[in-house]
Amino acid sequence: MIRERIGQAALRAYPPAVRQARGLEMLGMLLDAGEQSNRAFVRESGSLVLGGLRERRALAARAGTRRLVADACCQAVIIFLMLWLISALNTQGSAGPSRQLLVQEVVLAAILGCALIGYERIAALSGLGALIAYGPLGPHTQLLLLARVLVPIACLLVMVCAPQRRPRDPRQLLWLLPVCVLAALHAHAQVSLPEVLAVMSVGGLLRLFHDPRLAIACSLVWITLLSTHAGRLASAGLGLLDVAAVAAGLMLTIAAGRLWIMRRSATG
Amino acid sequence: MQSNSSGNRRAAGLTIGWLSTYCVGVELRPPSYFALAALIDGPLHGYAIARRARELSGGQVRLSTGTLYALLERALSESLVIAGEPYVEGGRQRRDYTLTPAGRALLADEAARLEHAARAVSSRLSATSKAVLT
Repeated sequence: MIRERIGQAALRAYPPAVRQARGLEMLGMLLDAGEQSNRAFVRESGSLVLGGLRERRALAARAGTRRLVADACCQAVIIFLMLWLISALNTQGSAGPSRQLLVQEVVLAAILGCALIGYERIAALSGLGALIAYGPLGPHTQLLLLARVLVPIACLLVMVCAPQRRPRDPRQLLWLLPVCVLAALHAHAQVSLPEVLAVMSVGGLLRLFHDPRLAIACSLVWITLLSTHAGRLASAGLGLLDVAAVAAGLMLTIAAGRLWIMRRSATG
Repeated sequence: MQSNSSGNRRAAGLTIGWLSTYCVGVELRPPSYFALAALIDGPLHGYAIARRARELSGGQVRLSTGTLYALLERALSESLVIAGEPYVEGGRQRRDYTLTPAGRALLADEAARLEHAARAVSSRLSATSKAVLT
């Protein structure tokens, strides 16, 4: 029973379509092959996970570079919205209850919810609207502020033109739970936004073997976060800026390299 | 022989496209070769293919679950094997795989190529060993 559960967990490395078509059959073979010893079972389970990751990589490579970059921009929008919402919740916590802030939070949460479920075009258009209403695209636009939101705007425009091709799934709303937890931690000054992004970036780097999209998305958000905090960090004389800049550049380079390798292996 | 087997391949409706994914150049990799060879005697399910491939290769090729299903997936997409209907045996779901004429032709080609290569090297080795002895 435990082996069956481990096998099912290992099978989750495969894309859902493959799991649906051959999952039970593969699980049967895994249990057969692992009957000899625990070592054989562990080896077979490891091979299953690797096989699943390779399958996902092949699937991503078949999507093409343009699609992958567009998907990365869409994922970047979701991260921007998460960070924006965390930041707004924190402002509410520190500045006290305000009707305007509450409306802003509800609007952001609704946009994020739409994007998570899969209504990406609606979310992107609403995101642009929110930028005009609450952000630096309002009536008193400053060029410096505008430069800082160029990446999010570009990503939102990509999301309008080429949203991710994925089925709509309300279960994705569960991602709002970690956002709330992070917002609470952020409000008590236990985590900063760069730290939240650093955790996501680790996830992106772990997925890099089979899918560079999250790594590219995190790099885009890093670039924006750096440009937002650049003046503040430089005046404080912190080395964090340099570290973050190197991390963002390195991550983008690695992700671009991975993308290039995947493209070559798909066309070669 | 070569042209005849190429003709067989064309007759089996194969294109050169699959060579890049299933083979290295015109060679089958050992795991693919023995996985297909395991099906010569008749349809087998996944675990039976892995066992048979190990027997045929004298223990050289050990197909893990992940590797075997990746090979089968490609072989299916290239019409080298066909999958039967799933069934339950001993509480486990199974599905038998059958070698197609195209898969058989590919195996015949590869066996002939390997045989030719082995013969060429063996004859040279025996010729030079005689010379060394004399």
